[in-house]
Amino acid sequence: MTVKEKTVGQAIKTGGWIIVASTLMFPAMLIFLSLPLLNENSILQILSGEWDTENKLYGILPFIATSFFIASVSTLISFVFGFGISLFSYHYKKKIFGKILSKVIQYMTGVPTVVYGFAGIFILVPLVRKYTESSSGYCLLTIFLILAVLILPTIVLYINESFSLVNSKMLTAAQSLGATKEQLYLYILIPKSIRGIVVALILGFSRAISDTMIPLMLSGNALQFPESFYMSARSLTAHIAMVLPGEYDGIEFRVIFFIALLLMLIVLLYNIIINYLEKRSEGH
Amino acid sequence: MKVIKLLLGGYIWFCALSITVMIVAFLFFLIKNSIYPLLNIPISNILSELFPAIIGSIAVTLSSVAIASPVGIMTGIFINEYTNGRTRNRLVFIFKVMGGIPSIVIGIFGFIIILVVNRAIGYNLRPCLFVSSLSLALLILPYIVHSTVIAFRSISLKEKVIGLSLGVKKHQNIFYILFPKSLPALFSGIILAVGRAAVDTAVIMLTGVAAMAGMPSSLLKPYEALPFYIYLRSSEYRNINELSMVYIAAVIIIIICIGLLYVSNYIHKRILIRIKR
Amino acid sequence: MSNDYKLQIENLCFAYDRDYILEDSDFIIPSRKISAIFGASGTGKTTLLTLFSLLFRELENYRISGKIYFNDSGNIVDILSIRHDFWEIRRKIVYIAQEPNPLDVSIFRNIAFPMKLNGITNKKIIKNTVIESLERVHLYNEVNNRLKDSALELSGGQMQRLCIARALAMKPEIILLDEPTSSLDSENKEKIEDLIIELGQSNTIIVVSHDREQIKRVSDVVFECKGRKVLKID
Repeated sequence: MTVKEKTVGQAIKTGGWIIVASTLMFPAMLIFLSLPLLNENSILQILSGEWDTENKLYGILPFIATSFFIASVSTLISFVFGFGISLFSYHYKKKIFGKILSKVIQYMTGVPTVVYGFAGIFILVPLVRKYTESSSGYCLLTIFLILAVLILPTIVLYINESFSLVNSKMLTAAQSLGATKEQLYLYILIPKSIRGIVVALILGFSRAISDTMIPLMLSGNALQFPESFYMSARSLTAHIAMVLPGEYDGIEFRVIFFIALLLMLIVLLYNIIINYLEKRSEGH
Repeated sequence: MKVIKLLLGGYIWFCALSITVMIVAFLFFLIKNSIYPLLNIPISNILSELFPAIIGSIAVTLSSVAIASPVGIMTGIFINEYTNGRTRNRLVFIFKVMGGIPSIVIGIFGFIIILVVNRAIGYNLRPCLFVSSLSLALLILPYIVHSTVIAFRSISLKEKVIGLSLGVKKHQNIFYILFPKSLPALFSGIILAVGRAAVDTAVIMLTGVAAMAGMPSSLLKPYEALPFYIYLRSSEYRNINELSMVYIAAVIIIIICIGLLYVSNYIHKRILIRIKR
Repeated sequence: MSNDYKLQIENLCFAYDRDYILEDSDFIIPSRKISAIFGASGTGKTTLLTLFSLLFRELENYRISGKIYFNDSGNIVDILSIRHDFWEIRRKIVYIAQEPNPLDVSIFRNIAFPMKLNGITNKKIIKNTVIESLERVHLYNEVNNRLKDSALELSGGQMQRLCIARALAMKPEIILLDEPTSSLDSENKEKIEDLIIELGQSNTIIVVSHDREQIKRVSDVVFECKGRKVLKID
């Protein structure tokens, strides 16, 4: 069996590059399929107009606004609670309830978004219907809350990791100088983890904006601009899910590819930012 | 200073308690609404209603993992062992980005597969099990590549060199010595990928899942799946029996994903113990 | 260039991560003798061994220049000019690491496996070579009843001898030993040193060590790594 090392090496390299190329083919196809849009309707019109198929308006601004709106608010809510939970886990990491909480949060990452949507429909929607001005319960408020719970484990786990990476020598040095726990956290732990906290926020935001099922199941998906918490509105992802299964052709269809391209670009952007941030902290 | 201590303490306890209450409430709610049906509805009824979805989910998950695993492992080995520094970093970045792509966009990729096959080859491909498997494979491929790269990266230079220093060829070293060493880490990564593929709804919604397709009969036909069942029936149920089915399906899915996550973590722990040896 | 040398090193320069480790070194490793390379830690002793065995090719960020002529039974080759299929050289110039690193398989397989991968499939030849190698390192008597047991159950000294046996099974031209006794206790240390002397009668051996006593006991020729250069000492 005198298989030359060089031959096997070249076979693996060829195979590897074929796979990489095939994977990259899909984003390329997205660009290709969105190109006709540049000819018929100007991008500006699409990005700023309203969506009204009867009047031939193919603007996706309402969806963009909804997606960003729900992503920002959920990330904010999630961060407020997530940060507290991370601190809690860190402070009580030796006690049993601290450990249990960390474990539970870790296992929460396994729960799929459908289940969160399901919980939202059967638990939260009736509550929202009963206690707020929303008539049906299917509104943005519901989405904020459920989405916040969805991205909570992502944020908590990342902040936990940032905390654990803080130089323990610094902490013990401060402790031996008589610092209280609160001073440790406020003046060393948190400032030293700022980069990780920012990354956690970005991760949470991107997870929130990429999610499809929760906005789809809980918002009512109305074609309007999100002006208040109690309105129903449609996110970019929900819009794709609603339009695509029907097989049309034409501009309506092509806008979907454009939206997908947009989402991909957002993901690319945040990956570049996170990469940059993580590289900076490694050089420390 | 006492004020700060109180505020901080109050804040973290408030957060911890809120989430605990939420989780407990959810579990309580779930159990309350599924225990009754589970005990009273005969198993055969439950199964006949949920069985097609369960089998469909298993079929699509297994096929996507069967496609993605060899491809992903080979790619991971290629990236880690057959590329140099700069290329390797760029490739790792590409797959990281692919891993972050929203699942609905991956669903669109699956749709693109259908379009390309229809227009370029002329074969009238419709949304079906096969297309869903391919799309799900695309979804989980970056995770498997990432697991493989990490698994191989964690093999120390000293271990890599044992075989090489005895004159073993590069590919023999990789496949006969390094690959077995990497298996536990790889396996835990694949289990995570299985979990991901089993529960994803957005991808299968666009590529082949259907409401009432019965048992998956052929690769080229639509099929049912558990996550889609939950999605659909959550918004459209006609009576309490159907509602109970949704609860039971939700319980099943939660058990599956948490179970898979647990197994993956368990394997991970075993690896860490081994390394300490 | 007499035929009594195994390696002739000319103008060797090596830098890793922008750090120059070796500069302009010239020396000759004689055949069928035990050459020792001595020096403080970090002076490049192990690096030299990774150069001879072409293992440095597995690194990135290095720079190398110069020539290392290898006298392969009359055939003289500059191993630094080789660009691929390094395994051909590594079969002949075998490197044995400082810490024993047996594979996670049985004692028998540890020696048999590299042979199999190198194309030797005859079971009888394999078995005989395994026994012969174990006998040469005086390990056979200790383990002949548990060849199928895991190699990881051996003691440190036994593992080190197993690694040497494994190298011997390849029938190499040069054996590179990297601090062979640094992780062993004094009793095993002496055993290994005796083994080295014994093997040195029929093999070319290069030993790296920072132990002066050991070098005095064991070696025929001594080189010192000092100030990025390699100098012969009498």
